[in-house]
Amino acid sequence: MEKLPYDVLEIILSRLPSKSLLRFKSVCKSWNATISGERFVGIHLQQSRQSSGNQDIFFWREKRGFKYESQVRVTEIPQHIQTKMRLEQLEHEQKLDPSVLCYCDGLALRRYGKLLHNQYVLCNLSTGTHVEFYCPYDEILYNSHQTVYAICYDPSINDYKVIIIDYKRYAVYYCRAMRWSEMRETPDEFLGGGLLIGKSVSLNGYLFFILKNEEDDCFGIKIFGFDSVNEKFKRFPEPTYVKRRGVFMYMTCVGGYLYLCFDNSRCQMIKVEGGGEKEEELVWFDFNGRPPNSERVECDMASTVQEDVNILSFRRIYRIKTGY
Amino acid sequence: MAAETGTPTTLTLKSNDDELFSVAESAAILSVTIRNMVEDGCAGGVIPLDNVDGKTLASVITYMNGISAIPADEEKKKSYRDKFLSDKDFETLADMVLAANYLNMSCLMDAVSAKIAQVMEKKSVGWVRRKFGIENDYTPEEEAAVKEEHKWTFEGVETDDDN
Repeated sequence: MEKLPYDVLEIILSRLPSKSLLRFKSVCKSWNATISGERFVGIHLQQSRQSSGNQDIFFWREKRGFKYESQVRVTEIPQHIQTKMRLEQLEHEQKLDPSVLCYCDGLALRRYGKLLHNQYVLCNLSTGTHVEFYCPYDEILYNSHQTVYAICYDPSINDYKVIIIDYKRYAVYYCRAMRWSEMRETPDEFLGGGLLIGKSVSLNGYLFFILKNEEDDCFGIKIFGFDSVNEKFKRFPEPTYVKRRGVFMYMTCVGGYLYLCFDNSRCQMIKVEGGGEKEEELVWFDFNGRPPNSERVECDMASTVQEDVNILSFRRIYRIKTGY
Repeated sequence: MAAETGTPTTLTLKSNDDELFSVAESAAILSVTIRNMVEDGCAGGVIPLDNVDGKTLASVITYMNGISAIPADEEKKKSYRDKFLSDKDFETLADMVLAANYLNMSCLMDAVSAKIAQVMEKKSVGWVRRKFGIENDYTPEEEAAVKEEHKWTFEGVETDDDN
C-alpha cells in the first residue's frame, strides 16, 4: 500500500480511542512520537469532544455515606461498553485517599490522606500517569463538604486549571505553568453557611457546582457556574424541583446541557453550551430518567447494591500526554 | 446551478491509468479540487486526476452521484455513507481516503477516516504494521518497554485474520 501522507494519518488516528492509540505507540518510533506529540494531543481532544462514540469510559461509583464520598472503581461492564481503565495499581502504589475530588476529560483530582490534605495528585485515567502539586494556601478549607474542587480546560491558553473554592476564598492552579493564582474572594452569596455538595462538572471551559442552603426545612440549592477563561462566577436560576429529603444529587454535562439529577429517575436539565447564553434562555426542564451516557451499572457484588449507590459510567475523553 | 437549466453539464474525469468517466458537474463539485478547476475555467475538456486510479475513481463517482441525489437530510446522507462504506476492505478504504484527501471532499474524508479508525480499533500492532506498510524500527528492548508502559491496552485485541 502507498504510504499515507502524514496529515491523513493524523486525521485517522485522531478518531481512535485512547486505548488503541496507546497500544499503537508500539507500531514504530514515528507513530509513538506523533501520538505523544503536543499537537496531536490537541487534535485528538478536539475530535473526541465532537464525537459521540469511540470514547473511553470511566466508571464512577458514587456512594452516599457519612460524607459524600466516591470512588473510581472498575466494575462489571455491560456488554456494549468495551473499554475500561485501570486504577487499582495506582491506588495501591500511591496510598491515596479513595475519594476523587473532581474530574474532567479523563483527568481526576485526588489527594493523599488527611495529614497531607494540601498535596494533590492529578491522575490521567487513560495512561495511569500522574503529577503532584501542593497548594500553599492553608486558609482555604479542605473538607469535602465545604469545598468545591474542579478541573476545567481553558481553550484560550490550552491548559487545564484546577480550582479550589470555599465560602470565602478561591484559588486557581495552572497545570501547564505549574503555578497558583493569588488567593481571591468568592462572591458574597457564598457566605451564610451554605454547603457545597457533590462534585463540580465542567464543559468547554465552564464549570458548574451546587451550593446548598437550609431554608424552612427544605434544601434550597443554588447552581453556580465559573467561567474558567475569564475566571468569573455566574449564578444560574434555581431548579424548579425542590428535593425535600436528602441532599444526594449529582450533575453531569452532556450534549450542551447540564443535568442535575436528584435520584435515579428524576432530573432537570438546562442549556449551558458555550456558557454565554442569554438570561431569558436559561430555563430548567424536567427530564425523566437518567441523562444520556450515564447509566446505572449493577454492582457485581449483589449484596452491596443499594438504592443510594450510583455507578455512573461516562464516556469522556482523556489526555494521552504523560504528565497530565 | 447547471442541473436546473434542463441541460446538465457533464464533466469528463480521467484517472491516472487513463480511464475516462462522465459525471454531472453538480455531483463532481462535491470535490473542492474539481470545483476550483471548474470555476477557473480549466474544465473545458478532460480533467486529469493524476493521483487517483480508475477503480478508486469509479467508487468515488458512485459516491458523488449517490450522495448528491439525497436532499438535505443529514440522517439519510449518513446512512447512505454507512452503507456505501460497509463492504469496503482496508485497502479500498486506504485508496479512498487518499482520493478524498486529493479531491478535497470533506464529507467523504470524514466518513472514510472514521471507518478506517473503526476497523483498526481492536487490531494488533502487527496488523497495523502490515496494513500500513510500516517497518518496526524499535529494538526488541525498546519495543518491550513501550508495550510494558501500556500493558492494559493489549487486552481484548482481536486475533489477526488479515482481512
